[in-house]
Amino acid sequence: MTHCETFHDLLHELLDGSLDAGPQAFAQLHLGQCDSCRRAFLAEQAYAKAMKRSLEQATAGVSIRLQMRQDVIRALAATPAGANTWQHGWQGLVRFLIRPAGAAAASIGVILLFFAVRLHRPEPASQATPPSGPYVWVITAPLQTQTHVFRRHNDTIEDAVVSSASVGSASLSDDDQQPSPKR
Amino acid sequence: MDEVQPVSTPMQPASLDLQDLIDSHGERLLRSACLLCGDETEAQDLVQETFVQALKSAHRFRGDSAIYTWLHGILLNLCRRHLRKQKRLVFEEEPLLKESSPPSPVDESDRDFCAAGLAVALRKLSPEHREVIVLRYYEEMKIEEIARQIGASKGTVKSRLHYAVRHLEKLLPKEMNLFASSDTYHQKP
Repeated sequence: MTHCETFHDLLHELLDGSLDAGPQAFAQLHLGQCDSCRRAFLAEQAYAKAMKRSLEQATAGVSIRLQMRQDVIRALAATPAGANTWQHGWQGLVRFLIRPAGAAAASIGVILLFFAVRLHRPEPASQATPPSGPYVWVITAPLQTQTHVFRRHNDTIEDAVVSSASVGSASLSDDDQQPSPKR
Repeated sequence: MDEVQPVSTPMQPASLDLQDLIDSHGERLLRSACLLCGDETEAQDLVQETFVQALKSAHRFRGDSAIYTWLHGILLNLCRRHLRKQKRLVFEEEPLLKESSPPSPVDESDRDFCAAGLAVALRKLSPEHREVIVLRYYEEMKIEEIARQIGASKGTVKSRLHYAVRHLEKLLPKEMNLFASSDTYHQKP
């Protein structure tokens, strides 16, 4: 840390007059030797004055409302007799304990739910075997009502649109063998 | 004639007279509350609550600090709680803080312009930054007093002050030359 950096670190306390003897002597000495730090010191003094003036100006129009005293008395009277600091202390303690307890319970619940879902997940299906019998592709669009049934017939692919209700009844003729799909 | 009778409630010790407290510290507390929360009506309520809390816990005031410092500590806690609540509400509804643009420098004097611009910029700072600005430059507290008041180390206060001033500088309109003469904050402390 350079002398200038050390000085900047002490600047506010130097202005406050709250430095111990050692740092105070260092700051005073440096102030006399370094033009840049002297300018910074004077600028901070000026800045503090300008800020004070502007902040006072910003709140110049405000004044305590006339019924403040009555409002305070009313608020004090409305406080239940038993609502002393002990009661507030207990309420604070309960709130302090409940919040982390609630958060912990919620976390444990989420973890348990996660493992429960994992344990009850069905076994993955064994390797799919190619269907026997007449070779058809049935494509059912999940959000559509139409079901397309493609089947091979005399080396051509036929596309039949059947409704989802009639898919089961759309039986295929026995002469349909298992072909290699042709597109 | 409620105005002239001395206030005596079961919770109020004889040493703390409400009217004295209001007369001596009310205005200054209110201005500080205005700067901290950015709204005069809310500031009035916060100051009222400060007096209520002060009278209720008067037995805990041991005179270690000035009575104003003690009152301001209560106000600061109330402001923090209020701003936390308000922050939660802002997420649910529209922002509650009234946004106003600084007046044109042509319309008002430079000083009014500076003050209005500063008030608007101050509202845009984070509560922590606003706090140190108000305590340092409005309340003119020493660094160690601020540290005690907000429960942080002196290093934290100085660092927070540094960043708060730099942020404020960015938020202020270019026409405001409040910071022009200061090169203190161009270097990290």
